[in-house]
Amino acid sequence: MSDINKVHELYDMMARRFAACAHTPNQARVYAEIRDLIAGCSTVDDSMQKIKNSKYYTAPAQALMLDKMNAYREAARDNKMPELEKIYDEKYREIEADPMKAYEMGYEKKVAARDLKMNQKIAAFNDAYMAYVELLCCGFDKDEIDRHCRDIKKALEEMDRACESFASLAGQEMYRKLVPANDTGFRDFVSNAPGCAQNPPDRSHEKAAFEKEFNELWSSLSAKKGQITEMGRKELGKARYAACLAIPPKDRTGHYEFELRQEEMPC
Amino acid sequence: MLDMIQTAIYAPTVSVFDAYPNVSPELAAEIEDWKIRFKEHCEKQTDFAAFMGQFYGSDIQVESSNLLSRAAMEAMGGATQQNEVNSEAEVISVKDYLEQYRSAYDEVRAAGYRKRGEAAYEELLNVANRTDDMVEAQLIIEKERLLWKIVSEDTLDIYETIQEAMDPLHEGMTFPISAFAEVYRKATCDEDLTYELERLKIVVPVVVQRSVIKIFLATVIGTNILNYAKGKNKIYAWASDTSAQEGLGAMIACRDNIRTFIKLLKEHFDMSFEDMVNDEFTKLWLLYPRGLDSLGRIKRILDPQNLSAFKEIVNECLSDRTIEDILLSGSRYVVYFDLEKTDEEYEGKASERTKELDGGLTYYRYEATLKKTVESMCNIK
Repeated sequence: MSDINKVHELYDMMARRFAACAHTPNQARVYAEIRDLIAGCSTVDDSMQKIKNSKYYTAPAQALMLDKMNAYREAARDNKMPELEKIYDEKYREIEADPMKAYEMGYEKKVAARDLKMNQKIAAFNDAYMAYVELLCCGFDKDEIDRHCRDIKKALEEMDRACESFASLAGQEMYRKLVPANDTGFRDFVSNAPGCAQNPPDRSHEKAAFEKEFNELWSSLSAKKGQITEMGRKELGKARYAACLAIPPKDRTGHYEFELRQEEMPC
Repeated sequence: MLDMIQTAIYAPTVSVFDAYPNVSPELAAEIEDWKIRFKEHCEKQTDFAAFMGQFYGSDIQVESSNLLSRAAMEAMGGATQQNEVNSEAEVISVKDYLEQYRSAYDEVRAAGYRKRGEAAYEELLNVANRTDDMVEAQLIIEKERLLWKIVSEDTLDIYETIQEAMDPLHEGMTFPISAFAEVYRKATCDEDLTYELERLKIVVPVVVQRSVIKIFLATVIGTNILNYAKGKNKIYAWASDTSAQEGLGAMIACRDNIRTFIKLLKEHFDMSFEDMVNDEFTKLWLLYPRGLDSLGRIKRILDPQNLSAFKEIVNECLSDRTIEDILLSGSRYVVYFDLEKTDEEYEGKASERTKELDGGLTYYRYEATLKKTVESMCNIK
């Protein structure tokens, strides 16, 4: 094969490869156009000269950056992140208008700032949900209730600092997905968490019920101490102390294996 | 100070430019100028942590990205156009052209475990032995996707080595790595990668958070069940009225927490306790697991026979039976508590066995370098 044919084949191969990929339309177009441009050339020198004297001398580098920006822009769009999409769209248009703009990387800073903000919002939303679930499970201990409510408050304030309210985030698909609860559980979280942050729930009725049951049971159990300790002799004899190792499977479809079990005899 | 910055930032950042030795004289001068200023900048730093925190996104880092992009684009443009033998320009040989990848290859080889990456670089460098025609070389590189392979194969070496050392059922830890690896396996070009990795930005936090909640729920109920059983035994032992009262308080409080929790599971998660026990991953977190290696693959746990006892305890708590009736009737189940007297001795044996089990894993031979990737991707320290 002659050198010019090889060059032609190289551009053709690149054009076809880029055309086969959904994210490289600019490179596909540019390489196809270069291939067609040099189609009539009889030597490599001719083809080089032709490329040099055309817009195609810098076009591959421009197309590369356009496709890169386009891939980012499409991902941001599919991720439903309009602010990020706008940053990439602006950069795309800048490079489209002036290839030299591909060398100016200022947009990276804007993206890093957006990413940082998004990560802060995700972390705060997760913190609020964890604290809310802990609050639901923590019983009536006032110190614990207050602690979890403070954590919710702190997380909501963190969202405000990242310039987006809890209500606004809760309305977005991605934040809904962060919470593994069903719709009832999610609605419960969204409608009650802000209130808990302001006014910790009053569980004094639960505490009163606990104390009532405790006192009644204590008098009754105290009267039957003999029977209970008698039963205790049998029951405590059944208590065991042991540990083992859990070895994970090779892949997600497998099961843990347990080994190195060691049991301790009860005292 | 420069020593730490030298290792963590300066050397890797500067060495990246070694991969592009054939840039234009103008760009080479700009890179040299930047290197001098970057070194001065590094030397001025007094707080390593603050420097690391501010480096990415800083002007000097953005400038390096800018220069690197230009170098990469020159290399790319040059590679295509140098092939079109220009009578005015000096013709670069295939061997010299491929030598720009030599320092990257040496680095991959020095790592020791990046075997696929090593092979990909060797395949690329070997093109010089297959042809001395630059256009022919470009055809081979394009046809066999050799430049793409050095990116994808080498990255997979790193991700797969890490993945192998993790518990595959622990999705919160493995997903960031496995999802990235999957993208590298499926992508056919850099732009595919860009798109797919960017898409993961919103997928990874969701999977990780869901796993965290799963673990949290299992831990909460597991702790309450064990404390319930311990409370019960305290009453049975009746060492003093105070300790019996403590036991009673624990039994009532834990029973109420278990009832609340089971209701929450059903109403908010459409799940039962049975579902938790039947979930291969979640069940382990009912058993107070403690990771014995750095990635928590091997875990020390309470006896798994507890799972059936735990189910009975949950049913007991959900029943209408009074605590008095429960105490006086005795129970059919046996709870295995954690070791007490032989705990330390067992810890030693467990640690030895873990070393044996992990011994064959490549990750642990190169942990010093690989753990940085794990920390950054899985957000763990």
